[in-house]
Amino acid sequence: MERQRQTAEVFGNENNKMGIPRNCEDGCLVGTELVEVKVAEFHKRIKEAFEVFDHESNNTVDVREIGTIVRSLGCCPSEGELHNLLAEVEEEEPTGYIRYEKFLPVMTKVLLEGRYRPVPDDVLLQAFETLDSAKRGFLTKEELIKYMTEEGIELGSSCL
Amino acid sequence: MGCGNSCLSMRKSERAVKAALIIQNWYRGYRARLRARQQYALAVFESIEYADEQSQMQLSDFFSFMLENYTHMNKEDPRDLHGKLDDLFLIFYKNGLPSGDNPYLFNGDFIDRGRNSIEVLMILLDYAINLTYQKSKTYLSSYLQLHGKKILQTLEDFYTWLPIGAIIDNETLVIHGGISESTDLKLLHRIERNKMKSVLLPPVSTNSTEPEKKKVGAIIMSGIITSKNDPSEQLSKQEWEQIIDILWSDPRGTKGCFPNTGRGGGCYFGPDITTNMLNKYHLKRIIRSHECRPEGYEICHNGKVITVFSASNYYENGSNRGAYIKMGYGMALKFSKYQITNSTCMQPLHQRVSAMESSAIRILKEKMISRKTDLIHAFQLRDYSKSGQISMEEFRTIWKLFSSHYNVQVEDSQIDELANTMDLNKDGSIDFNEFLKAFYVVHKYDQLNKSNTKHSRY
Repeated sequence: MERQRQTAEVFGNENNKMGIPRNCEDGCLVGTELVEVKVAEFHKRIKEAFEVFDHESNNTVDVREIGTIVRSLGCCPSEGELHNLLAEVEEEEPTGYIRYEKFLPVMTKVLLEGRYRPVPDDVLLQAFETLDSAKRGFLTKEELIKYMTEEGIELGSSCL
Repeated sequence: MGCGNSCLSMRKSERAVKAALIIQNWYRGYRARLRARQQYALAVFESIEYADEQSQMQLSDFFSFMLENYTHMNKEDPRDLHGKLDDLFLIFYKNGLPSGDNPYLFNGDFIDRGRNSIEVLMILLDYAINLTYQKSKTYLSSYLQLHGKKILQTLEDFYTWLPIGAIIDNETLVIHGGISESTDLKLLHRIERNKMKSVLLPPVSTNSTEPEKKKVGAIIMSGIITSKNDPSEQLSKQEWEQIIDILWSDPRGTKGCFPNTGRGGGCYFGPDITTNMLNKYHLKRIIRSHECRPEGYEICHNGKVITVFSASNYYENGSNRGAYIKMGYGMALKFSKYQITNSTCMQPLHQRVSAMESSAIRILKEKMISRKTDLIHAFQLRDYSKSGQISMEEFRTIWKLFSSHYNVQVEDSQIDELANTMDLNKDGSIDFNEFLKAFYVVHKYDQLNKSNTKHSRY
């Protein structure tokens, strides 16, 4: 049936086993049924996120929107990781557009494997506290700009 | 070389870098989610706007019919959206009032949908000597019921005489919508444009075996109103189609020319169509409007097509900026963006997005509530077992009946696909919630089928 084929698409190449996931949330094996339901739900979410940026309604999005789509699905890849992801979904000859048929399986895998999870809140808080050496409880706009553009990878001031 | 202090400071800055990266990543995710919500809201607004255009057609046909045949009309207030008067005043303020030395070109759509349509129209007419406007799709009738038949008639005639396009300095083509692969500027120049009463009244063929017109409204109209006119009073079908293309088409990234399924008229044209057209007539660029843009303007097709949209906050406060273009002979184009500011425009991004979202959800709700009885009726009609669910079998049977009755060709595979799409939780049946959600899909599907048959000339 169609659903089993989808599962195989996601895992078949990796393990040569059908329907046995490598990673899951609580670290134990789950039955294929549960995975199928998850896959269906992920497909629905991915489709919706993709469609809203598909301005021409022809199952393609501008390659520059992929970052936004991936992030709006709850993932937090770094720029480097995003770059690698793009390489997987681009055409052999980059057209400036990404097709849904290529994007869906890759993104489903990302979600199933729980890749690029956002950091938990306490880590985020710690990060802020690290930069807030004077322990004021806030960062001024200038300080934030300074950190974002000097350290780390440049965000670009337009993002702020 | 003591390691102590420098090690410590290195570790500190390492930590700072890591912290900055974490915050960056989180922030990117946050902004992406806001942007996605913004896009959803915009998609809702846009689709309702374009779907509205279809129903406005039928409404307008109805009003025209009533006007022709009845002398009294009940007064009706136009939809209460933002007044575009503020944008007009801003433009005049920044650039001076129109005069012989200061010519303006208004590219259509200046009166429909605004609260101050009549004021805008009157101001523009005041400066009529120095303004050139272009026609847009006209919904004149429904907005001018208030003001009497005679004024309406005069304005309708006036409107039909407005130019349909302009060429500036022999290098820029200015039209409202776009072009198609068959756009013929020489033909358009020759057309007696006043014969085009409205895009909503297609020319009637004398040969009555043409089943092409799927719009019910048009069929009624062609029987009652346009039969008064003899063929010489109308445009030829080819001329009419050329004008529709000019007024309704949208540029897209895909090469080629496809029927514009979003609007139900005109086409989607790609960069190759633009290049061919510009080369054919030795022009440099096309300036057009017709689509709302978040930043007021947008350049596409390698700089050859510019979309400019002058109504800021078009869908909702904070939804978009407006823009206009200043041109001088031999000068580069100057773009100016603006936004009519009230307190809501100054809010942080997440508040503006929330405001847009709630507005979009509200009008969506209104739409659904206004069609609620239709929807429930349609659902009940198909729910034989009254179980609150339609099984796939029931769905297929009903759809087949429907398509044979309405002469719509739908293949079995399409029915299955449609049913599968509607069945969101994949349990083999469609419940009422899924049905409501999918109603939109069915509607879209119908448009798709209609446009496919309408544009068989491609």
